[in-house]
Amino acid sequence: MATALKRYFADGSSGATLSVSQKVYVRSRRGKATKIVQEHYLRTDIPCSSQLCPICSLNLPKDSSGAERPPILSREPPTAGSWGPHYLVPDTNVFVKAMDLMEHKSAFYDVIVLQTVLDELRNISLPLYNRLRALSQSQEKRFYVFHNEFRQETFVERQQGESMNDKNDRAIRTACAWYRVHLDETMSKSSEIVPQVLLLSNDNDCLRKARELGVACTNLDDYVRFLPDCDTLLDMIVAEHGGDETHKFAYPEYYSTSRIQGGIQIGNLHQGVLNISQYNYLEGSVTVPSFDRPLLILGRESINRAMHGDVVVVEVLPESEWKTPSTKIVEEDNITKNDNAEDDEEENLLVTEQERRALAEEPATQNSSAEFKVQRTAKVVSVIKRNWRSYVGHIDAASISSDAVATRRQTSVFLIPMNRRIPKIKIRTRRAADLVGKRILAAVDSWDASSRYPQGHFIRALGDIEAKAAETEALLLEYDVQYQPFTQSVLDCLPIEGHDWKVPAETSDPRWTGREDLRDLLVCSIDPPGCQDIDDALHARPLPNGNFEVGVHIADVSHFVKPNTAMDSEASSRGTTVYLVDKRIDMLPVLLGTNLCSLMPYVERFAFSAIWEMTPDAEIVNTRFTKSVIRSKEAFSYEQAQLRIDDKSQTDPLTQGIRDLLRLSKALKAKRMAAGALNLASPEVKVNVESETSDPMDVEVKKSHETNSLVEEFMLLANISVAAKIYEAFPQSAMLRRHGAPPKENFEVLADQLRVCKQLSLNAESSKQLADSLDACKDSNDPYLNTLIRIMATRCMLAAEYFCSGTMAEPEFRHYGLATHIYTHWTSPIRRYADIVAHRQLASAIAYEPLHESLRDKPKLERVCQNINQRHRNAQFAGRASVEYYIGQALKNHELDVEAYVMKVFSNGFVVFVPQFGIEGPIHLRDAKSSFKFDEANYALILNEGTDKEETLQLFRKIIVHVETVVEESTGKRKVAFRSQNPKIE
Amino acid sequence: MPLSIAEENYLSTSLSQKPPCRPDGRDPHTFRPLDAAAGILPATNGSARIRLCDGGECIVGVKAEVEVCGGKPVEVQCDIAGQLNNSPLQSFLCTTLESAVRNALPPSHLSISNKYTYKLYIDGIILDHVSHPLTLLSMTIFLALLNTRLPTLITEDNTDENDEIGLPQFESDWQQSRLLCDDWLPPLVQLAVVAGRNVFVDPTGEEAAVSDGGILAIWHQSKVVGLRTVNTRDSSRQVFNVKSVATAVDVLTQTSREVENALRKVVAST
Repeated sequence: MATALKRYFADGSSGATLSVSQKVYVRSRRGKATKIVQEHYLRTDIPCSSQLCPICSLNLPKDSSGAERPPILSREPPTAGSWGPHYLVPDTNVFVKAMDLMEHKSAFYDVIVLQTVLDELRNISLPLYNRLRALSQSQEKRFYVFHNEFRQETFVERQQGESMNDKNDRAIRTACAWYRVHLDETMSKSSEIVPQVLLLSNDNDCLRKARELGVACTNLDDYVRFLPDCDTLLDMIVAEHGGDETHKFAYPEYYSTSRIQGGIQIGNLHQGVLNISQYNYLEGSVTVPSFDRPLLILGRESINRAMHGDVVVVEVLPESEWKTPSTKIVEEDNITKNDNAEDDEEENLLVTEQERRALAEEPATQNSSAEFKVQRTAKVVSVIKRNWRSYVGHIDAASISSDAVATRRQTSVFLIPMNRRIPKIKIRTRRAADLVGKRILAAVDSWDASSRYPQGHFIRALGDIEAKAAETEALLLEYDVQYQPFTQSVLDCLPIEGHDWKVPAETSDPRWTGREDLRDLLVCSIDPPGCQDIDDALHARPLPNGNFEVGVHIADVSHFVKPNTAMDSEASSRGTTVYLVDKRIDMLPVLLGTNLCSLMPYVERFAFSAIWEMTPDAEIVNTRFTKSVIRSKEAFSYEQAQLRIDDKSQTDPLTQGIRDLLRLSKALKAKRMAAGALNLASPEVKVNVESETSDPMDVEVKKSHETNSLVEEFMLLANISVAAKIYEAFPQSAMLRRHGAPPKENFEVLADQLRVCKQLSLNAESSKQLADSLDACKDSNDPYLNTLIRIMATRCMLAAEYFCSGTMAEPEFRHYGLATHIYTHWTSPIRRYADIVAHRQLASAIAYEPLHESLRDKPKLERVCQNINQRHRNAQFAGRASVEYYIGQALKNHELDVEAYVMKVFSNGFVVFVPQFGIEGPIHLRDAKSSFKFDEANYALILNEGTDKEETLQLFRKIIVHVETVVEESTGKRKVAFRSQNPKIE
Repeated sequence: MPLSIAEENYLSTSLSQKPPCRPDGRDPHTFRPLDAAAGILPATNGSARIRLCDGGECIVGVKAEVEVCGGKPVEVQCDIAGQLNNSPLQSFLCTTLESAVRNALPPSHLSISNKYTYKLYIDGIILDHVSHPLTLLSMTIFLALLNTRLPTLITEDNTDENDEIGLPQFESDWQQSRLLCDDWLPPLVQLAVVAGRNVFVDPTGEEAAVSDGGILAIWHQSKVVGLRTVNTRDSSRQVFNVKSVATAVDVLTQTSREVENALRKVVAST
């Protein structure tokens, strides 16, 4: 009854039939049970897609533009072992176990992916499904999705009492058998060898039945053994669960789905993203909507197999178990050093004594300041979504047993991820000895309740630790930066003229329609030195009525990047350009970024202009936007522009224009500050790289000129004006950027620290009050203190984010840091995708072009926002990590003593911040000979108490530290290590 | 078209005489031939259609929804082609059949957990009717309920405290669903008309129009569990002989049993 087959005569004369089959199933979601009926139309014209088949290539399917899709499976498929040329048909389980092999370049070409398999895979794992989809779309590995359930000959009707799995297995065998017969028949007149169709399955019963049908088949391991480089490939097969039931400890089981869903609905369970502390791998926190402060998750058992970034469901523990966040630095490698990767289950206890001690708190401190620090604790009861990705790390050499090296048998070893928040991963490999000292990419497969560590598998080696190429790739992988070259389909979207593209000479050309000719304006650009992707240019000129006309001209990227093209979706998924110290990972192909869109001097370029009329006091009289053509008169660096302004002898109109701009920008800034905009600080340093070898030469703190702030002010103004305009035109779908006001609780700790240590007060009631109190936080003896406090205050704030105007109420639009009621990003379309969206919306708001429907689609825009927010964050992290790596390299052969500030105090160490390099790092006291006492109330460590060498290391104290670089054993990173020099800690 | 006085007189006389004479020559307890099918709407949990030879036609679909315990377990809705919503006939049909099904259905058959239960939405449409549609609708609902399947629960036993908050989960394979009527039969509501001492089942429109009135009997678990009089003609005259009520119970008992068996065969054959 589940399937019914009807036949329709689609075309009476030829007798061709079109059959319909029905598929019935129950969808169980949110406690509802819905019966779903799908109709399948069976056809006979779905091709086998082999280039050898003369019949199917006569009737090729067409894509939406009417172009024929050529057959995918090659004429000369690979051979392996005793199997001659063959097409592979893996079953679902094989894809689950060996997706990494499928993606590997050395084998698995010409693969037929059955629709049945694809559907089953989707039900098992969406990420795997997406990877397989991507594989079959790329065509590089010649994966063909054969819709066997829609082809009449391979359609399989479910038999009475047959389970779905059996039916699917039968469908796979039927499809294999059909392929064989089909190729035999159609190639009967051909002289070429008919390729075999080889079914890959690990199910012995299925293999037996396939043999009965005459289908060639084998299991995965046997097949891989015949491939070249089989050791590597075998390592990449997903690890099997050990069926060993004798384990002595186990993590608590997760709650059932129904209990989770119900619990969330009535509010006694909470869902959120787990965030593991970077200083303590046993402490995590989850921010949930129901509570102001994050919930603390303490200890291995409470974290319960969840990993950093997973979406988890937590249950709040009783009040008696609420704790303050740990005041210790706890690093995994020091505590679990002796764990054995081979027999992890041997140990009796889940939580080892060392771990218990590491977490044990001193009796709750009895002072008032600790009160607000007691937080709700919770335990993880389920993981809704694993955000496992591939992790970069290195093999823990100590975890390799010596006899394994000799015998090359498969052993378990630990992979220590670069990211401290990720636990060690157990991987099985035969090549443990070869992999030591290499950067390795590995994936996590599962985390059994009976296994202390997650089980994963090896994907590939990136290269030697500390080799630049390997470290850079590792960094890009860690931050999920898409660094592959642009695909051909993206490059096809570029103008065919390539580098010779020019603004059309004739103003009658259709591309001039709606464009204003602003080529005569005295426009110039001001950017960092060596900037190639010039997004913006400016001009200012006095008007007869005493006011000024000021224009901001932005590269017209949306002219080249049209919605719904391959280039658009690539840019949307990259989201932003990523800047590393010696490398730029572009969002758009380099032709656009550094040439056609870049507003280079002396050439005509399409631009999008925002033009204001302003009074000399920078009051805006009038705003307008237009698409335009400009010719920049000069490209200045910040320094050059500054020199030009300061040079009194220069009086040409261009220089005058810049001077006007500077004056107006100061007026604008003053107004912004008066409104309560924050002047925040983040440590920014620049690494000077020798151009030939890109070896780092030296590190300096970035300098700031007045002209930096000139450009910044006008960009802010442009963004604010555009935001208002597109919100007016599209109240539901405008792409905006907001910065939420941070909850006051975020500043509680910092305010208390300032009060206790420096007798300063911090008022975070509003951004204005915060700005004022930050200005007041000064120490005349220590000018850098103010910057340090600003850096710490910045960390208390929320991250700014893109959003779609329809998803928030208007008061929520506010940008806290800039103290403006509405804001967007519009001024850097070459390197940010949000700006491209804003460009399109603005173009439509001024009636230049109709709005593409995708920009009205609120859910789609929300997805875009979510992605670019994530990409934006990752790009920042990647940039910082790159600087950190280069600082490590730059200091490789130096040791020096520098000034540093105590930024955080733990009971067994403290964190220092070095302004000169903009870096911070921990100093442990565990090895110190000196005695020390933790004074939590005063945020201080007291050294050698009671002796004449007594020293108090209080928060914000300036000390001298000795800086050197060491290769960190745990992460394999060359890291800057600090030792306190004054006061001296041995 | 209303009957002329002569026609009415003739019909009335021939129905009330002993032995009676029906215009189409049927026995008092004989049904006209009908065409019945079950499982015709794939997207419902159960469905049926019955067509009568006079052109009357009814389709019923049953949907089972998961709801929190405590509400009505069954809701019957029916549209009658050519009549406005809330017409007296419609509300009569719905309330009669709803209460019949509700009273006959043991709550355990719909129970999912302590907190959740299925609720049956029985939706009928009477596409056309010449004779009184009660029997037609009742038979179609009977057939649709026999055809109804409920998704099986895969959540663990509902014994522990989890159950207070747990949302139910269901097996996705439709073949694994269970029949609502595995050890239970839905009720049947039959209408008979009385003319003098005679009682006729499955009355045609004309027969009803000249009858003294109608009697409906709710049949469940091999007995008549409810009885009610029904207006079958415009005049307010509804006078029955007590004996004819007893006859009606006898006649309806016999025919209901036969109808029930016949309809069960329909479902068994699909």
